[in-house]
Amino acid sequence: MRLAAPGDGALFRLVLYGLAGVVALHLLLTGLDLAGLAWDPWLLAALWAAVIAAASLVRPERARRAADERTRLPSDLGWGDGLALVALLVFALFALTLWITIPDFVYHWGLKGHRFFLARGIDYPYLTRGWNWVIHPDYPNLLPELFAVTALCAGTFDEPAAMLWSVAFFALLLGAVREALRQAGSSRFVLQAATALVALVAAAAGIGGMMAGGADWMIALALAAALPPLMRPPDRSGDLQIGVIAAFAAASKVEGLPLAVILLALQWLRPGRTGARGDSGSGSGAGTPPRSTAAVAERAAAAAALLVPVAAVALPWLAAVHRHHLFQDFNSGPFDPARAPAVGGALLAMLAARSWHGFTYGLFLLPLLALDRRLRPAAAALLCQVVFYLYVYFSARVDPVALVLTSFPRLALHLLPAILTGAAIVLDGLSVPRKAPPA
Amino acid sequence: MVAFVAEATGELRGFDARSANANPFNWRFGMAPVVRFSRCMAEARALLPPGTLVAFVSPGEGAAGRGGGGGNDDFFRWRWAAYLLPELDLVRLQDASPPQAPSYLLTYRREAPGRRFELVRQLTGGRLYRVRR
Repeated sequence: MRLAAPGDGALFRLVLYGLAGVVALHLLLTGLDLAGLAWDPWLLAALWAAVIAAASLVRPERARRAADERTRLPSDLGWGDGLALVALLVFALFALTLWITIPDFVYHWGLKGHRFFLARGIDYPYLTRGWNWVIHPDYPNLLPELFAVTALCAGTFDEPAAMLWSVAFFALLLGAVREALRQAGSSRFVLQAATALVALVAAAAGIGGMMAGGADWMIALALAAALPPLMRPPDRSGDLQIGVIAAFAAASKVEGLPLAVILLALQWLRPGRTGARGDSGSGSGAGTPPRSTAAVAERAAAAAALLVPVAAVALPWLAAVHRHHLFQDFNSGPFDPARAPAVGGALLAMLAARSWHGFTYGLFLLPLLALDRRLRPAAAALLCQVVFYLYVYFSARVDPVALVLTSFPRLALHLLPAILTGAAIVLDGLSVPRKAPPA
Repeated sequence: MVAFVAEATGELRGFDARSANANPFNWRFGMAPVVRFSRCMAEARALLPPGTLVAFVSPGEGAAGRGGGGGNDDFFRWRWAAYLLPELDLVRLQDASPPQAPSYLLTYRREAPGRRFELVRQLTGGRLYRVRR
């Protein structure tokens, strides 16, 4: 089973291998924690080398040759790519000054990263302190782990180095967006324009909305990276891609957990899942009983590709939250429809958030994605994620207006890159006859 | 493009004006009040062994809403202090009660409340006290 599909370009391979690498690192750190071993940099380096060696050994020779043939970088770079690069560089420069550091870096992400670095592992005694409810001790720990590993490599906790993770996730996000446009067969102009648009809008929001050092780039990246596999008919590579992307989302942020479930469910239930060696299933969803042993094996392989990465990430996290009593009761509560006026008013106000310059109204383009059959699974994922955010606004045991005001600009970053990309694909498809993606 | 340029130039102007004062809710790295506060915390850091439970208090203390921030100066200074002193366990003075009894009290721009604190060192902008048992 291969992570990259034959039609995936070099940029998207970079995205996929980047996400898979981060998830593998998270699992490595989790394994060390479970084994009671400290995060020693030399031990980590040795284990990481072993992981890379194992990954290259298990790859079949034929797959390796096929992959090597398609690792060329895009040769059709244009003005949109240039603008995207400028946006990324300007964001990176601001991030390195720490001027646009998200307050949550100080309040919890960065603090946890520093504590984990000092403790050489997840510092559960610290997370369980009664007054530390403010640092969201029940959040998934991937981002603080990345900060801690960066500090382990550098020998000291360095904020600008930590900011580079946001730059990296932003860069991967742009790679995923460009690949989605390419795989959709978008015209050159739309590919360039949409890449530039997403880059400039996200950079503006990231700079003006102070989002460097936070985990919101990771959810945005997960949603954008899910576009190509969700646009293709389901296959083994697509299942594994969704599994890895969902695992990455689940490890990143608490909003990534429902996203992981949504992605897995959608990919599993998609119609058109073909059986092994062309056996059965064409035109039917996963709910249809398989008709042969090969089809059963194919379903099992699909289920494993989807579930194993997410289960490996989510189960240890759930066990730790349960074991250390980390879950915060204000995270959830009964659904309260009486909040509608307050939540609605706050949402309307935040649609005009200064740093988004009105682009938040782009969220209303989501229904447009349903006009393209290929984008319907992605549209369904985005819609479910929006519904989840609204549910939290109506149920969390905190002031809903304050919650909307402090979270909406960041949640918009999760959704808008994928929605704008999908909208560009739809509008391009409506204006020109559809083309096959370049080989 | 207009939005991007507007935000970039706006933040550049803000960066140039970082010597101005700001309340703790709006603190950012590099701001003058953060630099002053960091100096005080660095002095305290040198005096306290890692792992020490330290209470913190500064002007503007009050109840902070659980899960919602609440919004008061002491609360946000406490969060910055916790970030700047990661080796320590920092608790707000109002939350410090047995069995989590702190050994020290760190104050910023105010004196210790009451007589059960013994001054250890005057810091730049703050004070470090030992808690009398």
